[in-house]
Amino acid sequence: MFKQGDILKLADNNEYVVVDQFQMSGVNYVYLVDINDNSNILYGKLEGDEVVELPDGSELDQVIKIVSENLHKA
Amino acid sequence: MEQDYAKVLVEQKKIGRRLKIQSIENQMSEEKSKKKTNAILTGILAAGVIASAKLSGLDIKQALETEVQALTSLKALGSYFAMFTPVTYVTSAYAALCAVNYFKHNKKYNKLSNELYEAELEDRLMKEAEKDFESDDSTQIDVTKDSYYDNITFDSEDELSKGMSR
Repeated sequence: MFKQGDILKLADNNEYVVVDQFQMSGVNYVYLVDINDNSNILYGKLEGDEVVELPDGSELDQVIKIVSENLHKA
Repeated sequence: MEQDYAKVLVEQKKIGRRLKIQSIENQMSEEKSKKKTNAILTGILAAGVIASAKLSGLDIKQALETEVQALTSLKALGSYFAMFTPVTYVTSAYAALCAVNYFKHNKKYNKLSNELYEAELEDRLMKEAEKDFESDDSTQIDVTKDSYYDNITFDSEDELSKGMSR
């Protein structure tokens, strides 16, 4: 749906770059970094036209692992 | 105070942000493009750190905070990565590359760097001035009011009147 480098302006008025995105079990997950504040990092999933941040839990752990593997492929 | 802040962070994490997408942009100015590249590099670096923290069983919030702090200096970044043995996803060379790029375009860093440079320069100039002052006794001037006027001499009354009219 998105590609790395797309910039999303979200409802908090911040601009996030899509660093990674993938689909798992029919759900689109995104890994976003605020371009003006790189410490503002967001692991989320798409629900309609909203990005929903993943709460702590096994889903977040799994997404963190997949994102890392995607980004650090040899 | 710090504990309150930590509580807020924990609460925020429990709820999770729900943010509507207002716009999608993939063509941008050069400045924004640089910011974007920088954010991607930081994101790639952070993703490895976050995953490493998860696999090592470290607190992810603490790891992220440390990560942000670590990005303020290469030395701190190096010692931070030394915490992960073995570093599963990020090699130190790759981390250094990301950090260099991060520093290159980060305004905050530039500001801090300039301030640090200015402080160092001021400190150095002060030390040099003190050294010069100590090494050359003839330049020492007693600046107390009485001694200043005592040191002023005039060879003639004419010069004295000129001096007074100045």
